[in-house]
Amino acid sequence: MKKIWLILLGSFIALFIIIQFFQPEKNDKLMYPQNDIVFTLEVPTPIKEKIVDACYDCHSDMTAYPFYNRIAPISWLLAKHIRDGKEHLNFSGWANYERKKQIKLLTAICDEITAGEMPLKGYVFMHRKAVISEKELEEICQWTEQASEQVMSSQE
Amino acid sequence: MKKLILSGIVLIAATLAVTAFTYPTVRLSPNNVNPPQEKVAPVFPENVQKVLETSCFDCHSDAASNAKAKMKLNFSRWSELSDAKKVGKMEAINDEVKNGDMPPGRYVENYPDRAVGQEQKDIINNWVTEESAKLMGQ
Repeated sequence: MKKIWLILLGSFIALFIIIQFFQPEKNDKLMYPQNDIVFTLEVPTPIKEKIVDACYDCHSDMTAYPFYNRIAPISWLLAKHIRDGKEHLNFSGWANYERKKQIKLLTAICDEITAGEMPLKGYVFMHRKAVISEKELEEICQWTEQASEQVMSSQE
Repeated sequence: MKKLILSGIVLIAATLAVTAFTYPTVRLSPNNVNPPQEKVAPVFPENVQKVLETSCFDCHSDAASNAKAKMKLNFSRWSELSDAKKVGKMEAINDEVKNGDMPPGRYVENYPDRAVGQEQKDIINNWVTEESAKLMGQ
């Protein structure tokens, strides 16, 4: 009986080691791409810093990977989060969005943070810098409104 | 050997713990049971109003008790929104309805007659396309 457990555990560990050789592609550009929102809209520095801290890991091309990303299957999980996140909103591809979509996203940014849906709870647990205070939230929502107005009044 | 086993267990436990914390949580608030239907000022074209009244107002109007749904979108307060917000909301409405994300599956299961079919989707889509182009001055 003990032997079975040992074999089972041994194979788990072997599997764990093998999967380490399958690591997802990284999403870690070091500089803002040309199409990033910071080059497209007016983003005040405190807002820029906050959204980089709280959002850019999953919503840009510039993930700052934590050390545990070296370990599969954690790295797979993070890669999936980033893929999903960017699909909904990629700040680094901002200039590619239609104006209507830009406004929709700006509105959603304020709404989702207000509703406590973003940043994800698990993410905030691992990244304290992603905590968004009431005051910061207010500033973000003010900015999303201003930015929406900017998009509204801009011409293609 | 025992040490190896122990470290294996710890590794797996740590992996599981991290997975559990980072797993996205899906929270769907329970639907209201027969909420009162309140008349909302006619700010929408008649056909749009009808779709919204049938399929959306149960959660997205002053009469609803679903606080989170109301916070994100409250049709009773539509006229208070800025033009930019209106465009933002309309685009989101159109996407959600088009993708079948709204109304939520559980709501439709409970109230099949309030489901949004192709005809309703078209009504919403036409309205959003026209109205947001107008608001954006195109």
